[in-house]
Amino acid sequence: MDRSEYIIALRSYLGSRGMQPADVEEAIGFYGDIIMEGSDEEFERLGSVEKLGNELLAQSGIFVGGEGSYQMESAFVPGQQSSTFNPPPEDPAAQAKRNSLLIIIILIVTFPIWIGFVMGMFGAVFGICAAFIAIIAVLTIGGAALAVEGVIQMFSILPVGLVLCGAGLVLIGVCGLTFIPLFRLFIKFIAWVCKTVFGQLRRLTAGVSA
Amino acid sequence: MAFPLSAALLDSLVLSVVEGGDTYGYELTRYIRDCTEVSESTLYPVLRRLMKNGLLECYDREYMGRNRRYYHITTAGKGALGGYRRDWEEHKRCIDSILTKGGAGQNGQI
Repeated sequence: MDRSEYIIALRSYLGSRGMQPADVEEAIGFYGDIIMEGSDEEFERLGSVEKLGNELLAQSGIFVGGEGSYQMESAFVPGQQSSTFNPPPEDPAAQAKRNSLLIIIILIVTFPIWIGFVMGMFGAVFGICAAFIAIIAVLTIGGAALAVEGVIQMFSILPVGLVLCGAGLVLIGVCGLTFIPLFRLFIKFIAWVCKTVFGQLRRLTAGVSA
Repeated sequence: MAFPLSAALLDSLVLSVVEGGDTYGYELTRYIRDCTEVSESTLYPVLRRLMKNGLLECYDREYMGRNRRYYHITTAGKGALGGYRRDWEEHKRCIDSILTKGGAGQNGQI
């Protein structure tokens, strides 16, 4: 491997093992001249890419296998993410509690925004269902009225009475066949919505009080 | 026989070299090797520490198609170097009073 390839390999090695890009450039900036301009003895003294890379990683607090050793602490700059600073894993229960609390706070704060939308949605769904039920009811009542009228007409004009009665009964039958399953579906939908909403609320409050 | 260099002494040597003029890592290593055997792997952490403490700052300059990193002493670095030089004079005087300047007669032994 020639010296240029050594630099490229070193940069890649450091970057792939989690060294921050700024730290990589700093290391390459320092060692680049030694690699490119140093004598053969100086270049050989650096060792392999892995050896030098591991030394540089250790100086940054990143260990790649082997025994650990004391390293100078890296400066911790607030707000700057460091590859050497690994916070301990957070307790999942505490994290869930924090998330639940956050969701409740967000829901309370954004209440004026989402309540209008939710109420509108419910209103629309309820209106559509009510309209449908009204149509079915009207047709059913209409069918019943036709059937009754048909029975009355049978005593004066038999064929007309039979037709009216028959049409009325057909109408009642069709409405009944349509309405009953749709009504059952509507009840199931309402039950699902209630179960989902209350289930989420119960989970949120359980997460906060845990 | 080589006398080991303390971290403070190494810091002061680096600051002193850079005070004489902005320089880059390899050149700095050669200067310091003129007086003591030190490797690049020793100097690199020293430079990082001095930059972390605000005593040195760096900038890049293009050289033959690659970036060469130069180091420059800051005002804080000059202040620290002044302190190091005073401490060194005092330390050297104390060491010399035992090691070279007549021993017992000079420092009150016996």
